Amino acid sequence: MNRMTILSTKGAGLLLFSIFFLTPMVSLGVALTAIENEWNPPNGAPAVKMWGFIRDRGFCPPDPALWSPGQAQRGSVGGNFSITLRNCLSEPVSLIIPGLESTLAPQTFVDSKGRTRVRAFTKEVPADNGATVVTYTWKNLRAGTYLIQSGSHPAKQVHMGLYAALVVGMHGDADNEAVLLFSEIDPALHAGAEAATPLNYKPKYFLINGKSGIPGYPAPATFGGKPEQTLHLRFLNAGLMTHVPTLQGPYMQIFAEDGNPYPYPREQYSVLLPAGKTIDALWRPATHKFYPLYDRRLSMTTNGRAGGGMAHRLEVPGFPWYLYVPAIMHQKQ
Amino acid sequence: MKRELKTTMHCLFCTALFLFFLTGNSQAGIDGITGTTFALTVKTGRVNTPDGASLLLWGYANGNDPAQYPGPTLIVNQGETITITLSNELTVTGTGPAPNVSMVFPGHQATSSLSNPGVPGILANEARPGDSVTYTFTATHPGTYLYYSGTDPALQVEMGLLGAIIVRPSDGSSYAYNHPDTQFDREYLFLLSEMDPRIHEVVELDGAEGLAATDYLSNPFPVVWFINGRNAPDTLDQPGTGSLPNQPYNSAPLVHPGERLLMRVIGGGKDLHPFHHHGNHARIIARDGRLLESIPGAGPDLSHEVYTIQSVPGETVDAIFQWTGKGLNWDIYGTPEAGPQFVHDCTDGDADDYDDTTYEYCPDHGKKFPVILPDNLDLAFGGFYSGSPYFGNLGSLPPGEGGLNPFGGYAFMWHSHTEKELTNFDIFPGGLMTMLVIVPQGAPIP
Repeated sequence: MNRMTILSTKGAGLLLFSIFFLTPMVSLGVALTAIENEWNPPNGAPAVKMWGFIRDRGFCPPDPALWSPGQAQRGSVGGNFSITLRNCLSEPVSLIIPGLESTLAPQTFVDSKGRTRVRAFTKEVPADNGATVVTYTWKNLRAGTYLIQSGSHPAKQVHMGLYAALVVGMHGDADNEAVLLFSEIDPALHAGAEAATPLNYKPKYFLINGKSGIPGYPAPATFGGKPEQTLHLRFLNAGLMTHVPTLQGPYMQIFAEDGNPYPYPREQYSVLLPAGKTIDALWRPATHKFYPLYDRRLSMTTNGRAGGGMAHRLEVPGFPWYLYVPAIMHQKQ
Repeated sequence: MKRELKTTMHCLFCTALFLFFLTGNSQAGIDGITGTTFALTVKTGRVNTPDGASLLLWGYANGNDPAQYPGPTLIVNQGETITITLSNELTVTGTGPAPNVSMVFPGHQATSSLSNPGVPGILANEARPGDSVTYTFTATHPGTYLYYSGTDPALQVEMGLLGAIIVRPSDGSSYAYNHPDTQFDREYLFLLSEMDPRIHEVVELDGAEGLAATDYLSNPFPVVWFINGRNAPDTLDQPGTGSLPNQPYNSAPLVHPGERLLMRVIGGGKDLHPFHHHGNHARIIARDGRLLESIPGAGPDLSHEVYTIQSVPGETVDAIFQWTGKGLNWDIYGTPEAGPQFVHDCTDGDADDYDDTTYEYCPDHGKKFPVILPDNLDLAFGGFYSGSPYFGNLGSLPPGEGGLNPFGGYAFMWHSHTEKELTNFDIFPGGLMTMLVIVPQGAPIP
């Protein structure tokens, strides 16, 4: 029996989080820029126009790097977290984090019939080629895993690629952590200059951490901790479809959902992950190897072909494990 | 036209149920194969659906038997080491080679054997065409599990490569897990799945490569839905019937009042299928083969009741269902006002509120049926109506009516609550649906 279970049986579910998510209460912040860039499908199909977050360089970079989901950010339990955003897109953009507390200032517009309608959940950064920045702040963070995403025309902008993970604290029993961000791309919604509608959403590419498997090749890998050490798995779904992340063989202890701890962890080999959901789980790999992780809704396809898609591997390296750095530590441009 | 089809479906449904009762040859409990060493073969077959279609099947077979959908249910005992040799006898249309095939066992630490390792794949080692692979795992924990192809599963699971595993606990075969609260009187399997016929047609006519020109795999649009590899009304037909040579398992649950019915529900396909069980709530005791318990040994103390089981692709649910008529607030066994034949006692010697033999709910004993029934001339009849509202009683019916409920039981539809899945290619009723029939004590249940 682990410490977590003992505590839970005493009905101390809330206490559990405050005790085991031990990080100093500090306020953290980051400066990001929303830019237009491209993603190259794994099958040689034409590049797909994307919108993404990159680290702010103080101006709109003329030649942005290829798209990936925004860098996972870290907040501290009980502290504040802020993002200062610059906008290099062709339309206003804003930021929300469902489940965390912030002061919202909804933005409205008047439609063709004279009705006042909401365009954005909160204050926007205007489309002024990066001239101005806006700082968004979330207060009194709760431990857990959260999705940073656009709060402006989200049906379009989130799908265009404006999403990233925010992790707050880490489970007290965990030695390592891994972020697994699920999303999809329907190229048809990215092709035109007009606002695309997801009404006829038919994604062709299925991504974990921004990567689709390639038919006939080993699946992409994410650092999966070390043998006999406990890994904190953080699942997020930034897509529009339900996925079922499945670990082939071992069981996980699912202990939180949307940043809310369960009274008792649930022992399962798979996780129901609807759109917008976050799930936290623990897993202790027994040995060093690649552990397959995939979507049991079988979005394991690539542009219509069987294979690839949401096929992934958790890499539990043997010696020298210290050469591997968790993805969250990378500060990729 | 639509009305005609409906009528035809209704008749098919009645015929199936009639056969089911007439022959008394319904599936007893859960059909499957037992042992510790299995030889499975992947080969082609046909899945027949009640809308008249015949879909190409890639199915697991028990050795030299025909391919089947779903694959053989493997019934094993906790603690045993299970060895499965999978042979690839798949043949495909076109000039290209048949694909590799494989099996994965979620929840089990399976390995391929050193002596017959097959070739590495993305999720598991695979058997090349004409070759084989041997897997080994230890059934460490009791419960309900599944297996399916780990080779291009978006295609191969769709084509039919999936099946169930039941691990009997060391406490005995009338327990679901090693705890008294998991004891059951009867068990039934509900392996839920779906198919998109377009995919099967392309694979049959052009080979799997033909799918590259479509978006069928990335955006499947299933139109037929299955329980244990059959669509209603075939779910109620006999197991092993000759008209469904590759779909040997049925789904025809029967239970007496008060008995504990263990539902083993498996999400075999790609979609969620909310499995709605009329009649009563069911208590979910386990998911993915693990008891819902707070600490090991506590038993299912985190179990909870539902009336729709959330069935998730690749996950399994175990639930206990009971029906007694409790709370109807009338005496289902009839009252003297209805006739002298209904005079009966409710004897509750053990003070559990139920009759010690019939499981009648004694607080409702002697309460009158609250409705004045219309005259038969003012009624339309379904095949399940026994002619009497009273449990275990047969009333008079016009010639040609009824007859499908020879023991005067009560029938409850168990089905997907995604209601479009109650069709066979848009024809209602059908699809992911069957009927639970509660039959009186003494009525035979095979």
